[in-house]
Amino acid sequence: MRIQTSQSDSDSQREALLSVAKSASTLHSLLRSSYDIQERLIVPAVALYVTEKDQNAISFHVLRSLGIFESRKHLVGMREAVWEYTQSRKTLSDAIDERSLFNEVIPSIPRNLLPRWKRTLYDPQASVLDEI
Amino acid sequence: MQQLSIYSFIFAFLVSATPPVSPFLRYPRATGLFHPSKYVSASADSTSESCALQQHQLIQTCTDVYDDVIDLFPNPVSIIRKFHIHGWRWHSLSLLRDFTRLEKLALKLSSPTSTIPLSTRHDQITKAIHHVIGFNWIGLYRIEKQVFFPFLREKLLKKQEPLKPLLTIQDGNATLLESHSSRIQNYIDVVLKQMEDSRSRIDTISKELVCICLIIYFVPQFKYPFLTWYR
Repeated sequence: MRIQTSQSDSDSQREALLSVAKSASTLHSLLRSSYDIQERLIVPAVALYVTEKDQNAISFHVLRSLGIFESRKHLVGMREAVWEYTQSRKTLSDAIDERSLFNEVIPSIPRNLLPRWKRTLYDPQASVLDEI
Repeated sequence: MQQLSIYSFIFAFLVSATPPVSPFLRYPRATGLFHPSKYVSASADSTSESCALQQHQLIQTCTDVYDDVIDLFPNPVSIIRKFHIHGWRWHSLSLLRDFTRLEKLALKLSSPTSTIPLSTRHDQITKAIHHVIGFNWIGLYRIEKQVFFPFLREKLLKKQEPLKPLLTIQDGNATLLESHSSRIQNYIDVVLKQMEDSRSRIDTISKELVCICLIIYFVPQFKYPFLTWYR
């Protein structure tokens, strides 16, 4: 009886996990389309019409809204993504080296602290996704 | 402690953002219909269809407006140096990466040949969804909704006055751009609305994912509470 019950549970869990995979794939597709649009349309519009001062102000505002600890984890995630994605493809344009841009935009102090933040803040939370 | 924070996340998420239909209401135990796969596959099928449709509409609308105004814009590469909010772009990239990793993890855990114990699978997928949805997606969505999209609307959709491009002569034809200001504003408006719709759709699917996570975590204990003592 116990074995049958466990098997049934296992099947249910398996179907639920497959559904998680399917939903994650759908989410990726939706965000991918949106990302392409923001790269091709919103980025040029902001670059054309919003002053550097206003752009820097909103970046600072976002950083404050995220919170100091959260923004460190996000920064590690961004760095990982930039390094991983640019291995296989260029993002905004073939003419832009995303990794150089990252190194240029992120000040040296937080950039040097990234490995530490990855080890102490990011990995304890996100390393489960690497156990593949 | 970790489990406590995961529970807190799930319940906080469900309370703050009520899912479209509670899985417990849809498949009540008493009627014998409480089966996660039914809820899950029914939801996933409708999700895929409506997503495909929405995605098609999004691409179509944006392609139309893109074709309409893109010739007015200078080469994006030449003006990328004037864009400074790269955190927004990289946050989206980070989320794209996490969605892919979540899909791979779920596929791995669902494999019939997987030797990972059931309880470990519960923990792994819950922790993964906690990070991808509860941390990364919520972070991006909250900032975009509360800060970034209102900022874009304020700066790019000034109805009273034409947009003034910040261009040098080398960058492009500023006079031409200014003369088409209303068309450009119209396109920005359409694109922003579509992006917001797309984000709402992602948020809905994310809530469904959290519901699935809840089912994965609690179903065995609800159905057979005594089993938890054997694990």
